Amino acid sequence: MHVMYFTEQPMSAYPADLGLEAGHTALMFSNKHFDPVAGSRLYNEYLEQYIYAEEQGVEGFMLNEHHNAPFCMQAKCNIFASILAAVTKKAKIVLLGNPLPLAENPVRLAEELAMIDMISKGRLVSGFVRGGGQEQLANGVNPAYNRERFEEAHDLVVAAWSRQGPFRWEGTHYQHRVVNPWAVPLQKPYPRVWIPGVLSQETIIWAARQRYPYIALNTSIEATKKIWEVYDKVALETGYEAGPENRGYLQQVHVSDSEEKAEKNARQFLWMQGEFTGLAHPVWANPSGYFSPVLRRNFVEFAVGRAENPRGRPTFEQQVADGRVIFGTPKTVIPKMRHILEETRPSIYGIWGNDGTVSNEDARTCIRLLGQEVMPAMREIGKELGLKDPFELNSPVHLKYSTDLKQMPQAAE
Amino acid sequence: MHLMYFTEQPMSAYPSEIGLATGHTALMFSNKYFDPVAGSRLYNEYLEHYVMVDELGFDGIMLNEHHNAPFCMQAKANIFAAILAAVTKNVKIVMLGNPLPLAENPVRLAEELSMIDMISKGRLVSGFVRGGGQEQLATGVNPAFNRDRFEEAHDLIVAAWSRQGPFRWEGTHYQHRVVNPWAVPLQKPYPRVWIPGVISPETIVWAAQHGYPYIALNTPVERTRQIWQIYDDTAAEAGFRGGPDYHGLLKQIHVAETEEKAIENAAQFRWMQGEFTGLAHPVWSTPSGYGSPVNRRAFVEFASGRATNPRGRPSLEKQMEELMIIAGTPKQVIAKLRILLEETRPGILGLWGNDGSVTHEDAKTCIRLLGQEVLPAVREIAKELDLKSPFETNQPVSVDYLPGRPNSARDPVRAAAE
Repeated sequence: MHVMYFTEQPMSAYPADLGLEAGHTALMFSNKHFDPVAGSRLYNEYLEQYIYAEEQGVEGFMLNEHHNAPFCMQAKCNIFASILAAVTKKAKIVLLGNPLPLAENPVRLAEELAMIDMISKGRLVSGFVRGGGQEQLANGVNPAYNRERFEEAHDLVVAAWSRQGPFRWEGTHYQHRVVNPWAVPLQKPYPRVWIPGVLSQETIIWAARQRYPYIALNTSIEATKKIWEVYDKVALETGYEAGPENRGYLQQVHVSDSEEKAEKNARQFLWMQGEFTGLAHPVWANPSGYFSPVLRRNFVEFAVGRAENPRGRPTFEQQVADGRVIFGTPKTVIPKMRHILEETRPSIYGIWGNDGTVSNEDARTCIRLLGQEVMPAMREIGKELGLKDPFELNSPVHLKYSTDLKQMPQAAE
Repeated sequence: MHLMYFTEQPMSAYPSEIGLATGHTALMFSNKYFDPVAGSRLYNEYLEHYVMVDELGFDGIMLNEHHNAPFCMQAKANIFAAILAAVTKNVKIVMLGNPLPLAENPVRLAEELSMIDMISKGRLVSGFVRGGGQEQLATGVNPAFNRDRFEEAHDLIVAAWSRQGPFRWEGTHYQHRVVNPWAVPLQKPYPRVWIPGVISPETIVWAAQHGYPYIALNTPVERTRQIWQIYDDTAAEAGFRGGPDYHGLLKQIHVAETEEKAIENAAQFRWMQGEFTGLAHPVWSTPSGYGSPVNRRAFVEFASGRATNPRGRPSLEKQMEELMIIAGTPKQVIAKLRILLEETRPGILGLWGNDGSVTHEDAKTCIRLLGQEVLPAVREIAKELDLKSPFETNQPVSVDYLPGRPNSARDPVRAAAE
């Protein structure tokens, strides 16, 4: 079982009351509220937390990326990926992920990731994402081409990594007269690719068709099980049987040395929800063409006051009751993790440990207890439940490297 | 004086005889010759060198970027810039530099550089370059728009860094409905910008017009002096005095315990010259529109065998004579540097210490001897010759911030107050 640590790297020093007043905080909330002195302090605290976490036994770090967003300071996930490649020794560096449609030049992205893989001595997991609606606007890319660009950029990155250069690429969205990067990954055939997601069916289906593990981001247990159903069905149609090695789950889990402090800090997970899903401008989060017309309509109805927020804003208590936010001391958290692992059976688990204004000291306490107690316990439970991760199983990096495909019965012509 | 260490981070493990046999090595020389196991080893050796440099008290580390190139493993300068921001404590991180025309989205570049500035606690010097001819082809950008894109990308980045967001940008090459990055630099008004170059006078003029120090990359003494003349004349027109704190020079300098060893390792500087200038395909390094027609013709005539290589390939002995390459024991190197500093008077000196297949051990020895013996002596000479760095003179970040300049349009603090 692969258990990894995650933080959004929140810009917790911005004036949250002004954000609430403005009514939206991602994309258009003025960066005059971004204080780089605080930013510098926070980046260095997060950096020290990663180093500390590895010392405490954490075996993987998940990184993400967002633009124009107070809730996440990782404007480019490859920056901290590079840093971790140099300052950590053993932990996997799990990017979830580079937003492919935002890349105007996937070959350059392939080069950067190859460098990171070599510098880290082969510890990169290079996940890819579509990028949310407002990320498209923040970067000036056409939202209607999102899925096409995602798929073509993926194909081009993989080609740049694994096809001998020089070659040409005459694509729909990307054209290159020469692809011949003098930086290719250390891992062969190429670094593992994990695909995170929340809502979209097509992403699950696409991931299953590639035989890439799918990482459910903070979805409810019920929703997560439905995701596996979809994935497993597509896997069978594609010719293989999916299992824990294809499944990942990210959840908000705060651990502290007392229940009271754990609860107090866990409430900070709502800071992000209040800002991100609740205070994303409904129209900018769903620019034309990005989602289906039906889904966009729901958001527009909400924007004009005719309906409830489709993303919902359950209270803290409701989320705790639903098992969406987990907190406690190691003693109370470990049994909860057992229950989740028994219910959802992922071999990859991301612990989103700290958010909002949790103090540096409390964040480090959480990291220490995770690294020394909770994560080792989870790995033991994983062993017991047979939750073998792709590394342990040496799973094929992509469907085309499978050696166990079953021919599906063909439909009669 | 600002003393910074430089290496191309050469991919020294590739089969150079095959490169020579092919006749060109940048751009189209197959990456089947790139061994990532060796690549991983080399990156980690270079990282070790940088950490040593920081510990030994150099003022800075210079980074660069090249694509599809055996002579340089930095396919993205920001990767090592980010790493140095985290693993070094004192050195300036001098990027010379991000090739702006290759950027399809300068706002993202501005974000990355802001992150690096904040993580490093304000140690970034964010230089920008045009990118060589083959870099344009390697990244699929139109060479004819090179200068336009360079200038517009620069303006957009500086705006993203220093203008309050959100704002729109409706440019010729870049259009953004919203520029509002939640990552801005720590240094105000923005990180220093140094502009490196070799040949093109337009770049020198542009740098001087902006009040950005110009870094001459390994140019001969006479040429370097000509560059300063152009720079200082333009500076006078722009309303400020040029001089050492606006003049930077990168030089190939290898130090060893014995003269013999030093010369043996200094020969490796020609490895790069043999590969880069000698084995750059003349047509690909000057694609149509990139340079002037006159310039391009010289390369095409060379490609057709009608003329000699315009870049020239003097021998090692000649280069050492002309102080193009400086090599020796610390004592010998210090003496040659004294002459160089008296002749060219830069306030910024880049020490390009190691290249080609210089061993890891010899590279470390060079760095150690530079740090422990050469640097202190050079600092003394610099004091004697009054060669101050931009940090020592606290020169304004650009002409817009010269004393008495009305820059409220760009000054974020004043703009906010208005």
